[in-house]
Amino acid sequence: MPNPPAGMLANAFRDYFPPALAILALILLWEALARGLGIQVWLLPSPTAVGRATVEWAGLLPQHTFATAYVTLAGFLLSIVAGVAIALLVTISPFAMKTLYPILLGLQSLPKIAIAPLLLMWVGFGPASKIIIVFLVCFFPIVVSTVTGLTSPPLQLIDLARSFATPLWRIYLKIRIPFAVPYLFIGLKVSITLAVTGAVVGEFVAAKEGLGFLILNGVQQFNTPLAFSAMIILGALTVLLYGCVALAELKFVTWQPRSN
Amino acid sequence: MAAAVELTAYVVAGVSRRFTVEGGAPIAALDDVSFSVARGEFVSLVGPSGCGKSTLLRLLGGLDTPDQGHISYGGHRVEGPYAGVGMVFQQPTLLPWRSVVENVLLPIELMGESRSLYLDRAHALLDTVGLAGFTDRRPDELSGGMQQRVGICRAFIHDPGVLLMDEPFAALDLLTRDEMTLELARICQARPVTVVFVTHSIAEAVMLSDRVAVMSARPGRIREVIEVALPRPRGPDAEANPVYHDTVRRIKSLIYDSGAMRRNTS
Repeated sequence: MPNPPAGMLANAFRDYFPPALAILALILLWEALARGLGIQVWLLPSPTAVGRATVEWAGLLPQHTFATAYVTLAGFLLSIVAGVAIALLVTISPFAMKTLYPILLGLQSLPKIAIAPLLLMWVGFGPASKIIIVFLVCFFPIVVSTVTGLTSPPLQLIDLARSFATPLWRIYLKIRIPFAVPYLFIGLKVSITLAVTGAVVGEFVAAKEGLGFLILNGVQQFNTPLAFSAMIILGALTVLLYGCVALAELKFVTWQPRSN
Repeated sequence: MAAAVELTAYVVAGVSRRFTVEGGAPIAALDDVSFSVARGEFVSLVGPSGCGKSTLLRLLGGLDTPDQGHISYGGHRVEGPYAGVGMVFQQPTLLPWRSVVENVLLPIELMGESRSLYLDRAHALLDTVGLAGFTDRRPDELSGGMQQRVGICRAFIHDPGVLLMDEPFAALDLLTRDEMTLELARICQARPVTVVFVTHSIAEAVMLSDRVAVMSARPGRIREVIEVALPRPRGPDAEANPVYHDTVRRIKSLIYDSGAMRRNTS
């Protein structure tokens, strides 16, 4: 049902105006309180102070943003490759399902943050330790959602395919993998938000750059406006990455599994 | 004797199938089942739930193997899936991301053959079930009855010698179900195809079949095979024929008096 452009604009206005207004009101209230109550800038900077800090550090922020974006994306992409591969393996081989899956479940019960200091010891301060943390955080939701998707086709459909003596790879190509795609995207959307958190956790433990590093340093050196600025960029980065996954979902997912 | 072999589609000889439930005693789904199906014949399997109808159908399709006895199709022992089988299930099991015509062509792709050779046939099949105007629609845009029609076209796309149907109309409303029964009778009249049809509905079985195999439950056995002497072609008026009622009554008494139902509910 394509709406006429005017109608679409009106709809967009109706959808986006109330939240935009609420956010603006919140910022104004924050500014008014910070000024009116005379709160120290290192305790709670006003929005204008955060804005000033952002402009002041504008030369440095991109470098740190890219550092965080890099480890987030690298860990996320690695976890997609490995997660999908493991999901294929455990659905194809009952032996792998029995041996590998319980181990994965056990590993998942370890808090990833607890592993961070160890990783530091093993692979050092560089981006590798952050990429591994992001990978570990993202990996599990992707495996679980992909396994669910690959095993979601009705048994009778698999029977039908088997009745044509269809080779296993073709059952995957034509039936199981297409069935898994919407489920995979559920996992990806969960993972991408976890990914940013994972990167920041890694940077908190020890780093030479990144938005997490800026936040920690900002707070330690009483440069709270800078910490806020980094935090807001971090939020924007998460929204941007999530938006990219959602866009890819719109492009690749042409049907939605019905809950039965 | 060679002629007799050619005229036979299925020979089921002393077939038993047990399933082991974890921690429990093995359950006999089928016990010493023997019957045969002639080429071009329409045979229904009816019986209470748990009588192993679906298990038997999977065995016929080579999707499962019997513990005892053997099954042959066209004189060859069934040891796995073989060419020329079409299957229809209770759920249409269509691929939701594909159009109607692409769903009908799925078996061709699964067999690794060229779709373009079968495109005309797909359209012709959809035409015969009244779906000519819906070929580019997605399954979720279709009613349950229409989806099941697509499933039937899919089963016919590779011109199978045999159709194995597992309660294909059980999920449909009664009116659609009656309509589909007549439609299937018409389609099978027009094409030389052997059909083994699993159903709970005695009326449906009598309307469609040349013979009805009545089964009892736990262990699944064939109690009796009943000939349906209704003349063909069978239209809606076939139900008015006294033969229809006699046959339905006979099958009912076999099922209800066998004790199978009582044992099932106790």
